[in-house]
Amino acid sequence: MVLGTVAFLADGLEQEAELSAAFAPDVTVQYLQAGRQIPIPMKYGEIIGRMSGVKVVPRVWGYIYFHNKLYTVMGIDPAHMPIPKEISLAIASGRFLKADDVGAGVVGDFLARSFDLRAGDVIVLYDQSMRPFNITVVGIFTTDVQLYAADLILISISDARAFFEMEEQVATDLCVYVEDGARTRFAAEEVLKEIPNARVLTRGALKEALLAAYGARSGFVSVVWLILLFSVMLVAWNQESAASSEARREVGILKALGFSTGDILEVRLIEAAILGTLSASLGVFLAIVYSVYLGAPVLKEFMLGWAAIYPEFPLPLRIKFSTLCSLYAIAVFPLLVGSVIPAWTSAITEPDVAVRGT
Amino acid sequence: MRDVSLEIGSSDFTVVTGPSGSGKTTLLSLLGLLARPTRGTIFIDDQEVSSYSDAWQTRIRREKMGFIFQQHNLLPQFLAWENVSLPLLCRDIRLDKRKRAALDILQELGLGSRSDFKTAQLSVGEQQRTAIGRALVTDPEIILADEPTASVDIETGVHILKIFRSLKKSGKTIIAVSHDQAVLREGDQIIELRNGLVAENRRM
Repeated sequence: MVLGTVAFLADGLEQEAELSAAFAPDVTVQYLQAGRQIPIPMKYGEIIGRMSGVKVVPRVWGYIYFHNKLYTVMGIDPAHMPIPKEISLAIASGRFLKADDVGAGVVGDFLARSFDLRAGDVIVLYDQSMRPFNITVVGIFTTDVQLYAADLILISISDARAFFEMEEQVATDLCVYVEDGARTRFAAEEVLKEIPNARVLTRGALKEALLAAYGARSGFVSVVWLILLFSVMLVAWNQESAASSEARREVGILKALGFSTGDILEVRLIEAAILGTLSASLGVFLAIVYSVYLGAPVLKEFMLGWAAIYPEFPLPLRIKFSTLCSLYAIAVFPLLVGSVIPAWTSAITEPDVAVRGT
Repeated sequence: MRDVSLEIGSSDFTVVTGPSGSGKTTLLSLLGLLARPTRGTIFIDDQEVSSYSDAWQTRIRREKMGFIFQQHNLLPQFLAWENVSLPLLCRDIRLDKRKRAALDILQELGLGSRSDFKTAQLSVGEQQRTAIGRALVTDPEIILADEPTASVDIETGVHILKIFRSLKKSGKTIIAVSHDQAVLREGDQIIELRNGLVAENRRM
């Protein structure tokens, strides 16, 4: 059950990381000073823009405290940035930002649920100088992109500049879109040559970072897999050792009754397969009840991390066929080994143990 | 066992007797192809079977022999009829036919009403009769029995002897290890063992 829940959560996080990465630009360029990120001068955008086959769009973003939670306010330029085809999958209600939107925003599911927001509602944030700043909600992100959007308030770049009081000559970072996807790595290297102080992140690196951060929980997943595999093998071995004299007697009886070594192994194999399949089915069923219906208490904190100031993540779950196969394999295989090997060693010894009753 | 040379007649009721540790059970195991002799040979129907491979010995056991153990050796996880039908399982006989055959045997042995009981719910006598049913369900030519009446009461012992008598009449070869005088009286051939040697081998 624990293994099933952990595997379902890990698969859910992986799926979200993949979908979230789809919204990232091909290359993100940030500017560093003394190892810390600072606003990047737009002149670098012009330098990168001169490279062939690339398009540069600035982005302005930052964090705000709102009702004791930390949110990301991100300003984008919908007129110039390519809108990913997955956007229809990411919007639960309303629409995405348009080029001429002013004072409009698309918000994450957590914010919408917390304040019962719907498309058309207005939220009042407080800008850099703590003046009220009205945002009309035009769309709400789905829960399928929680890693990307749970804490997100997406507005136009001009609104973001006004909100954070950031000048036109700078941006928080630059989004670089490469026409030929195969040249992304080359483009990233070129950017780094042009701007040595830049931090250059490709979409692939971003995805890896997301997976590393959450599945790191993926180390935790691996540990759970190993511990449980070891435990199952130990239990199977222990069970067989404890029952070995009884098992030998039973094998002796069966051989005296005319069973061959092959017949006995077949019987044991079927027994172990049925037992393992039933155990795995029970474990998967309990894992679904525990994670889907009970919300995976305790394990959720291990897998998603814990924070008081970040919005709460709804539980990302995904039940993959390959994961189910792995769960069944891990339940059935050690039992098969644990049952068949002792049965084989008993079956190849002389069966007069049955006659002697020892 | 040493220097044992025996001939057991077809359709005979042979009783092997002797003190504890004399080699009775070893002889039964050898005759039943459950153990291999370190020296010497065993013939069944003029075929030297002691050097056969495990697979062939298994085949002979399956086709020709039925075993009755001293401690009945029923499998506790199965019902009485399931225990009786076990030897038919490895002959690839369909479940309904296996069950029919097992129920018929249990009916003959007076256990028709107990066929759906777990072995733990049966009395010692009923357990031993169920074990006899299991030995007979394949209609074997040779029946090997180790102290078949040792763990049962007098009444059940008498019942078991009646079954043996009937089997003898139908031409079965019976080889039984026993100390029971009642069983010895039924024997056509009595073999007495001492210290692994044949002390006496007499035909009645």
